[in-house]
Amino acid sequence: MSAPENATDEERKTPLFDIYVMLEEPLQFSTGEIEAALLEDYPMLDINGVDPDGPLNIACDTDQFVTSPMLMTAKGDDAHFVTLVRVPGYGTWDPAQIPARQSIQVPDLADRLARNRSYICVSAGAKDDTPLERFRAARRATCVAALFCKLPGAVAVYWQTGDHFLTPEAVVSAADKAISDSYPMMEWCGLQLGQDAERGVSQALSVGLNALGGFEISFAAAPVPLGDAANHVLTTATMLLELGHDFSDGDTLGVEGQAPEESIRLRFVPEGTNGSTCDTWLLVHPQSPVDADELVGPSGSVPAPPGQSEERRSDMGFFKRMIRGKRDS
Amino acid sequence: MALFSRLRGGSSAPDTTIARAVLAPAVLTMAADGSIDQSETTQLANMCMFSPIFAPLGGDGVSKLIADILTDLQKRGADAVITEAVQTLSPALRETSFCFAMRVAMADGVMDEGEKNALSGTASRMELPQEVFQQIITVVGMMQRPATA
Repeated sequence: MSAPENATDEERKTPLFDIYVMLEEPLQFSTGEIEAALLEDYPMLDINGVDPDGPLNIACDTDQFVTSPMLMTAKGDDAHFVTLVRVPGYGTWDPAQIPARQSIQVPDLADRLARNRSYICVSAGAKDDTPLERFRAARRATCVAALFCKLPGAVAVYWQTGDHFLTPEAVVSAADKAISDSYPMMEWCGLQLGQDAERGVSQALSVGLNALGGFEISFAAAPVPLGDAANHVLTTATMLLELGHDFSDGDTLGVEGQAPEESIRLRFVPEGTNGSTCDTWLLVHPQSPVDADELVGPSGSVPAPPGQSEERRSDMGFFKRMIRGKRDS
Repeated sequence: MALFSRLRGGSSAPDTTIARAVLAPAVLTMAADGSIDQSETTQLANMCMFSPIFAPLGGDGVSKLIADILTDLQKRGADAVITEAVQTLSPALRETSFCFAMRVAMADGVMDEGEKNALSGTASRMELPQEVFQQIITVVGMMQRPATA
């Protein structure tokens, strides 16, 4: 349920967040019920003007064909339509065909999928291409999905943008975190992890950040534990999206006082480089065998003069100020 | 086939079994003087909000629970309601329950005959150890001292 092939460039740029909630049995509901539950459980969302009992209240049955929009009449910063979708013959997964990276957060996924009898897909698009609206769309989708995840019959969730599975409890927790204007990075960002035991290196690549921030993050193969590679990707994502870091090609990531040659170097790889489909921040560990200069050319960064620091410090409240600016005014 | 409204109601409504049992002796004590007005109900609801047992219910939820217990007392009688509460509660929660009842009785600084009888019956059913009973009376008495004490 991502952008169709005949979508315009503008439509392609505006991301769509699809969340599949798998259910133990078919479920009947109306879009008005879901709207009312959304306002009840997440009153912090800036959504008003909703009429759950109005003429746009649509009865849905996940045993049938469902393509029902909701929040059509809503007003407010968080108001934009969400579509509930269920297409017969879709929404089933064969545990044997699921790569391990997709089920990292759901160790008992096979058992859960065995109980999957029906599903509902929550699909929310962003109003525009800005990071703020992308966040709002992801949050709106997560909160609506969480309403279904709170039901006793919810067994598992597939977060399509991150191409990974989550537990219903994790989605409820992600909604709570997003409501406090923070990115639930573990849930919203999938990871492709790789380990080469022979060479003793690990690598990690984000999946789905492009929909949130217009870029992905790749940790180039380096002799570090796999968990460290994953942590570097998720931490950098948080720094870029939530903590207000404004990095340039060639900057380094390290603890205070750490020499640049001992730090992880950030290289900006523009969309189209070696066929890449979006901009990528490449994290190059000092012991990585990857030659980033060969890959993207020499860095344009110039070291700071001796005795001077060019640290790009975080602005911890950056994102919260941005999203709350209008709400608090 | 499941209904969203039914599943949601079943999953999100907090279980009030323990809260009801803890509160029943306090409501009985409150009713012991023969009448209950809104201020007494509000006072008891406010008292409950500091307890983790009642926090998930919220102020309106506690007020509704008090009204439900009152109706139950009128329908089934004090004996049945308090016996059921005692059977539901652990020894530790019986002490908690008795503390609430004692606080209600001492709220106006005076314990009348009806309140004394209600408390005595409750303490007896709860089989509270004598020393615990004395401790509760002492501490609640301390809490309700007037400014002139």
